[in-house]
Amino acid sequence: MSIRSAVLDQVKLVAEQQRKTLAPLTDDLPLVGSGLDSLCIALVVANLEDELGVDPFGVMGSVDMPVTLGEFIHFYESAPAAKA
Amino acid sequence: MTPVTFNDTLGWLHAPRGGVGRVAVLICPGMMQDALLSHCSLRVLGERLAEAGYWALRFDYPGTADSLAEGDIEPPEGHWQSWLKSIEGAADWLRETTGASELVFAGLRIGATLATLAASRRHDVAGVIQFAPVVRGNSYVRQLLVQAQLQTGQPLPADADLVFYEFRLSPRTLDEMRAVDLRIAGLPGKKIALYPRADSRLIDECTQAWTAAGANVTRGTWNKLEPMLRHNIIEEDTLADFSDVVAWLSRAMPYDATHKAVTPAATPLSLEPAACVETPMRFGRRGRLFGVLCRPAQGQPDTAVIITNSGRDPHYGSCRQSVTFARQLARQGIASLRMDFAGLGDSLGPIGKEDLLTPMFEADRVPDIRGALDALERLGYRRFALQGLCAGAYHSLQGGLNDPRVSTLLLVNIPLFSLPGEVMEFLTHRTNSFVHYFNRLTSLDGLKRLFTGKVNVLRILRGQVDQVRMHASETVQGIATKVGGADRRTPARRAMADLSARGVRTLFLFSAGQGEIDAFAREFGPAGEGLAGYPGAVMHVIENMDHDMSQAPGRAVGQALMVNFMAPSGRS
Repeated sequence: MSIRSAVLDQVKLVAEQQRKTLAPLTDDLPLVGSGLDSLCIALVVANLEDELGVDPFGVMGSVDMPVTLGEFIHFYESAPAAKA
Repeated sequence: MTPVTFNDTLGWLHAPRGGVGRVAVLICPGMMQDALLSHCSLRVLGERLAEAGYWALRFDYPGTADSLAEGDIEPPEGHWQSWLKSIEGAADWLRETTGASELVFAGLRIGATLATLAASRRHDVAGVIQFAPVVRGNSYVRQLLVQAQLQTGQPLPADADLVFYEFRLSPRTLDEMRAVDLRIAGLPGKKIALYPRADSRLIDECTQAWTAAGANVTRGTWNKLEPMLRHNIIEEDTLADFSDVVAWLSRAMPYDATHKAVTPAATPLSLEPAACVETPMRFGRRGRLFGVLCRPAQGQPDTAVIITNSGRDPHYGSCRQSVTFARQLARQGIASLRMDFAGLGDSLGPIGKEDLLTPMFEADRVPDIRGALDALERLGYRRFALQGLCAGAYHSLQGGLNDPRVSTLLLVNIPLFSLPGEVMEFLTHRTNSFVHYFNRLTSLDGLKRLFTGKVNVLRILRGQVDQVRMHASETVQGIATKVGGADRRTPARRAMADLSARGVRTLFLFSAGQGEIDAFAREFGPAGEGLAGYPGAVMHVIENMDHDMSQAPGRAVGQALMVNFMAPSGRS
C-alpha cells in the first residue's frame, strides 16, 4: 500500500469513527477545513505512526503542521522511517 | 451502585446480587476526552457486571475527575507511576472490601494500557479486558502533542512540560509513556479479551506475542462498544452494549453462587482537598441524581453554587473545570454541588431509559435543579447560585427563571435563550447561510451525499427556517415594542426583566470571536450595552477563553471572574 493510500485510509477511518463529514479529499483541501477537528488530526497522526512506522515529527512534535491534505501526504512520503 | 472513597480518590462500587461474587472487575477509565465520552458507558458496564454476579469498581486516577490530587502538579514519582500505583491500590482495596479471590482489570484506551501493565505485575489478576487499547505509548504521546499544538496554535518547545486538559506532564512522564509497548507486556496464563477499535498491524502483533507467551487471547468486535467513544453531543443517544463482554467473562470466569456473601463495611465518605471537604451525594426522586458537595473545611456557609453539566460532560467537567471551580469557591467560603443531570454522568436517566444519554438541550432540567436545591436546603443552605457552560448555561437560566430560591446566575457561553424546534440544526448551521448550503449541495460530492442520504436536507432546512423565524420574530417584536404594543418582548428580554425584578444577579461570560455570543448580541449588543436596563446583570468577553474552557489561561480568567462575582466583595 502506498503512503498516500495509507494516509487517505486513516483520514477516512478516523472521520468515520468520530462521525465527522469529510469534504472531498483533494490535495489542496485545508486540513482544518476538511471536517476533521484537532482530535481527529491528532488521531490520524498517531494511527499513521503505528501503521507506517513513520515519524515525520520531531521529538516534541514541534514542527509546523502541514496546512493542506497534499502537504500532509507529502510530509509522510518524505519522512524517514521510525522504529516501530 | 454505591459511591466510595479510598486512597484519596472517589469511586463507585457495583455489588453483585446478594453480595456473592468470587471475581471482581476493576474498571480503569480512559483519560481526557476518552474519559468524558465514555463515563456513562462505563457506569453501564459496572451495572451489567454486577447483574451477572461480579463485583465492579470504577475509580478516578490521581489528578483526574473527583480525585483529591491536582493534575497540574506532578507527584514525586511522576504521573505515570502514580497512575499505575493507583490501580494497584484500587485492586488491593477491591479485594479487601469484597473478599473476591480473583481480579479482572478492564480498561479503555490509555486506561487499557495501564490496566495491562498493572495486571502483568500481579498474580491475582486472572483476566484483562481491553477496550481500544493504546499499544504504543509513543503514538499516544504524539497524539497529545499534535492536539495540543493544534489547539493552542503554538509550537511546543522541546523538553518543556506539556500542559494539556487537566494535566501538566513533565518530560519524564512523557518519556515513561513513550517507552510503553504492550507487545512486550508479560501476560502468561492470563485470559485476555481484546476489543480493538479497528484492525491494525499492531493489534495483530499483540495477539501473536501474548498468545506465544502463554496468554489466552480472545478478539471481539467494536460495533456494540462504539458509543463509548462516540462524540454525538446533542441528541438522545444509546450507550455501549456490553453483552458480548459479559458473555466472555461468564465463560472465562463463571459466576460462583457458593462463594461467601460479603457486605462491604461502611467507610467515611469524604475527601479533603486543601481547605475543603468533598462528599458524594445522591438526591432527587429515589436518589437517582448524583453530585459532589464541596464545602469549606471551616465554618458553615449559607451560600451554595450548583454547578451543572457542560454539554454532556460528567459533573467533574472537561479538564476537571468543575472540580477546580468548586475548590476555589470553597476556599472563598462558598459551598457548591457539582451535579449530573438525569441521564448524564452518574445520575440515572428516566426509569427504563438508564442506558440512554439524555438530549443536551431538549430535556427539561428544571426538575433536576429543583431536586438539587431541595437537597441543599435540607442541609441548611439558604442562598443559591446556578452555574453552567453552553447547554449548562441554558438550563441554569431556565432553573433560575423557574425557582425563586435562585439569586445568582453564572452563565458561560450561553448559546440560546429559548429553544427553536430543531436545536441541533440551529446550533450546527446557524452561522451558515442558505447560499453556503446551496453551494455545498450543488458540488458533485454534495449532491452524491444528498442522493445517498448522507445529508438530511429536510433537517438542515428546518434549522434554517427556525433561524429565519427567530430573526423575523425578533424584528416584529422590536417594532411592536417601539410603537407601544403589549408585552412583545423576546424570551431573552422577558427573562432578564423577570430576573432583575426578583433581584437575581446574572453574570454572562463569553469567549471572544465565538459564535455563541450571537444570540446574546442580538438581544443585548455585542458588548452587553443592552443589559443597562436590567440591574444586577453584567457581561464580559474573555479574549483567550475557548468555548468549553479547555485551555488553562482562559479558564483561569473565567473562573476568577465567577468566584469574584460570588464573593461578598464582588457584589454590586
